[in-house]
Amino acid sequence: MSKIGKRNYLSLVEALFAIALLAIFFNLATMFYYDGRKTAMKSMDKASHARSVSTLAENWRNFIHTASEPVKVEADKILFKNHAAIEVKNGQLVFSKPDGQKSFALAKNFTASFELEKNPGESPLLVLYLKSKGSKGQVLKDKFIRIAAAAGGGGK
Amino acid sequence: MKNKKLKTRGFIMVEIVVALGLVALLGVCYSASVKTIDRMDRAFTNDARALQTISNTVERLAQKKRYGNDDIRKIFLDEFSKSGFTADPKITPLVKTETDGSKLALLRANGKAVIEVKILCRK
Repeated sequence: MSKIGKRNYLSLVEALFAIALLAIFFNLATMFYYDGRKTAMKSMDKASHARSVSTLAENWRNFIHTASEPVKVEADKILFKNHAAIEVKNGQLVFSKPDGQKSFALAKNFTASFELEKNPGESPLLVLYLKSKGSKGQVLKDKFIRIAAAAGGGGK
Repeated sequence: MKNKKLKTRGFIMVEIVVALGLVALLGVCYSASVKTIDRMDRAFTNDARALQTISNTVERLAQKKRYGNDDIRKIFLDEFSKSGFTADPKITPLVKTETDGSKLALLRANGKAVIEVKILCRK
């Protein structure tokens, strides 16, 4: 009876040791949770981006094949002879034609840019680069997906 | 009496070692799972990039009225060099020429193909 009600008090050293140990475990648990969550979120973002790339590639090529020749190609805008245009606006890729427009939201941490390529013996190529952004918002040069579409439509 | 009390209150070395072992085991499991996610993530990016490399090659070839094995090879290797795979030297391109077309593949370091297609010549 007396044993059940008895309390074992810790000495000061033991209490300090227990607090330090708890702090370490708490820190580890928080770190594991935070890192795990960050990794999972990053992977989810990449997966959603990869899934949207195939849809985007199809629309990008269809739009360019049906549009006329490009008049002006800038890093964030392409203007075509028939007043069609493609531009990057507020994290979206906007395909506009005189009769309407279509927009695709780019995945978070991704940015888009355009380039005109001329290879000998081929039609000019309009290339869409989907580039990944780093944790500080900088564009990572080696992490991109390149989607090429033949402009002008003429076979050679 | 006082000595006996002290003996029953503390942890013995084996208990502490087992507890630390369990914590270490959890840490190892965690780091292994993070590594697996990272590896899968990289493989997924490579797959998407490989698919786009082939898709871009086909897009460029489709604009030509005629193309042979040399054109297929030249365009595929050009697309590979521009695709960003150069940052990952573990992926290598392979072109096998056949009489009616070419087999294109992107291989991992272990020799397994990320993607493999055959493109027929257009005459």
